[in-house]
Amino acid sequence: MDKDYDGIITTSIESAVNWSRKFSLFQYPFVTACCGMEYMAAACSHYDISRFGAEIPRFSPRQADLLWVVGTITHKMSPILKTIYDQMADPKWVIAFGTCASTGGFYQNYSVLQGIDRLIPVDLYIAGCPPRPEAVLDGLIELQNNIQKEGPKPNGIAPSAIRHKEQKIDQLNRYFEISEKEVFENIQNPKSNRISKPGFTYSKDFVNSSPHIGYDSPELKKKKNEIKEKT
Amino acid sequence: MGESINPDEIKAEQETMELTALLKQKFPKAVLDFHSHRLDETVVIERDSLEKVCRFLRDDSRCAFEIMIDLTAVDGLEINMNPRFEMVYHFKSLTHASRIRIKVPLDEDDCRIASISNIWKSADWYERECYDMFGIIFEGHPDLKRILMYEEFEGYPLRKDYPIDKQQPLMELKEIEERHKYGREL
Repeated sequence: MDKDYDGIITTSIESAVNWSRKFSLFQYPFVTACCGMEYMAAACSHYDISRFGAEIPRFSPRQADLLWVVGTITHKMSPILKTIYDQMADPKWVIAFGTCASTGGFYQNYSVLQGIDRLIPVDLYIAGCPPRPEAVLDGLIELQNNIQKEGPKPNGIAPSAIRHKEQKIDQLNRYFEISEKEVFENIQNPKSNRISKPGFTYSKDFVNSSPHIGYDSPELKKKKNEIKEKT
Repeated sequence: MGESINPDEIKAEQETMELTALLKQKFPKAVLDFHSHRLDETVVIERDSLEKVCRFLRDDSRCAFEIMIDLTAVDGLEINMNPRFEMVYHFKSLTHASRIRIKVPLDEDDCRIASISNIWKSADWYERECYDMFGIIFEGHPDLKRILMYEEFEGYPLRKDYPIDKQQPLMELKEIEERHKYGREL
């Protein structure tokens, strides 16, 4: 939306259409593994994904325009995923939810597809094993921004999918480099009620030692930077 | 653990030893070896008499193993086991509250063994899985085909000579090299 004169809004038609599209995403959850729990958590009332207009899961690909691939995809499953993707009407978007869907995760063996981007175009990757609901919502907002900026293309493949390699690295980097302060504050003032005792806080040592709360320890960060500098 | 001797344990041990003795007496040629560790009895059986032994274990009132708990194979390629494969069966008796483990050595060149799915019906899918993963052929099985992998899959993935990261995709995939490059970088 460009300007606002006395209740009259002038805009381009693409901008208006994209605006309506990004707030009415009908989702198809393709849930195969434990990431589904986090998807459910994000969809339920604590995190409430319907705040972003992505409220109703449609269990028919014909009625959906956002495909969440949530969990490990095996080679045996891949034709089914491809069929479902093909059945969805344009415009459509795909989110790879979690490490397994993005890269195959720690399953590098005879059965698991090493990332669904080898099979279908992906618009957005959400890192984490599994990702926290905050990361899911962050990813969804990122996708909405992409839709607003770029919109769908006539061939059904969003431009973000074409340059998805860079995007993938950016996103993975971003999720692994949340500042320690930010994480610490989030834990001190949790938005969910997971920490049941009032007044309970984690010690700083715990925050540094726990690998599960979404950021790298200083040593790991150093190592990653070293690897980056080398390459 | 304490030094005190539990009379129940002694009794149970005697009972399980009785079971092995019974098998040895009943099938003197079939029993190749046996041992017991903490009341878990293992009997190594020759391949051709497996069906007879299993039927005896289920039907005889002194054994009465009503349940087949598990059935799998072991590939001993990397530990130079001879012969290479070994079938492992676990049975449980609710009547006597006891368990038994049966092992059957199998040659690599002749990976065939009698199916026990006509004795315990639950063995049906276990045997299909075992065939799927190790390529062991169960003679007399009603419908021996792959259960987990797809039919186009070649080879047997849990054999130790199957390459650990070899994949056989069903669909046409793209940019394999690129993917691996990024995977290492992060």
